[in-house]
Amino acid sequence: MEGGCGNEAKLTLYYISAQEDAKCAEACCKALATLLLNSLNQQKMKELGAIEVFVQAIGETESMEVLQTGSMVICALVPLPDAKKRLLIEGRRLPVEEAGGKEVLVRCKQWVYGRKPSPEWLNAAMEVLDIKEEEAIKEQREREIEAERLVADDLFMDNRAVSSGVTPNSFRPEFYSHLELFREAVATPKKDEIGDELVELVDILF
Amino acid sequence: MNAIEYICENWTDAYVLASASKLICNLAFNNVYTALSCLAAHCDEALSTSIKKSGGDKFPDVGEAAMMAYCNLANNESNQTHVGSTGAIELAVKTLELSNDVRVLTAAAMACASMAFKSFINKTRMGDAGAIKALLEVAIGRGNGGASEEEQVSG
Repeated sequence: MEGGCGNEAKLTLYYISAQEDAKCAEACCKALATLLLNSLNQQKMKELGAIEVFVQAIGETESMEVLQTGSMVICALVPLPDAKKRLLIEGRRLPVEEAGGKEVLVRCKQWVYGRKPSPEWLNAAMEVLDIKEEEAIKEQREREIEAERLVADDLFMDNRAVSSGVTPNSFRPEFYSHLELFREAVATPKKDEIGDELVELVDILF
Repeated sequence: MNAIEYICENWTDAYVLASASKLICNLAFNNVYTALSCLAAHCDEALSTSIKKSGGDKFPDVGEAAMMAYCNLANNESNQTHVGSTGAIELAVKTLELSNDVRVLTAAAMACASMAFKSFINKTRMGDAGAIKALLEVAIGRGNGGASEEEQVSG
């Protein structure tokens, strides 16, 4: 009987510890999601070779909050549609796609947003990951034909601006509101701790 | 405000330092003007002194309160830039690298997120300070929700 109660208490402790760990991982993912909107930091993540390990960890998590915020990190690593098309035309693959990022996003859509509409950032990233090589090549050909036609009409036209099809660097929106990060601290006064020294200090200061 | 700085500079008691940090945290909570006033009174330097005096995980309450205060102080673009330029980023990254207390780590990660939010300069500063590696290690280490059930029950 006693052993049973002990196990119950230990399980409760485990539950609390697991919840605290999940909150910690969630906070880290939120920080990573905002940091990885910067291309220099994306490069650092690639250099660390951590994309595959991270995607695998998020794919296996049992915490819905970690799955949600981890998906934000994966979406931050997904480029804009033009950049993805350019990669495909150059015959390169997206590291986050190769690591199984799309499967994690699908899992997030099904489990976190199963009964409500999924957010714009998730839909946009999934659309980018759905772009196929044939589609990218076809669009590039159309752009080149258009560029040739424009140059034929105007000899001073710089056809690179039309044929590259890449939009200039733009600041991508954040995944959550800044207000979500602010917290109030709970201060509990302890009588034993407030000694005469502190009372004297109040007299000095005021 | 000057009283808070005086306390952080001259006191070594962990409870007092944690309470002073919590006061800064609550003063800056959701208020751009009071956060700016705190920064004008050098509260960011006081927080830095508090963390250094707390000796890592020896007094986790101080570390947690100070990181929460940094998070609340960085509540608009100019405050973010100010907080980021006074060593808070390096302190937050060091905390992520060295601490083993889950509440301190959570507060440090939130502080990183708040300082970097929509701030190009702080995102770059954090990347240079090694925040990506530190955050990844904590996120991957704790992403599954802690130790396994068997470990907890048998331990």
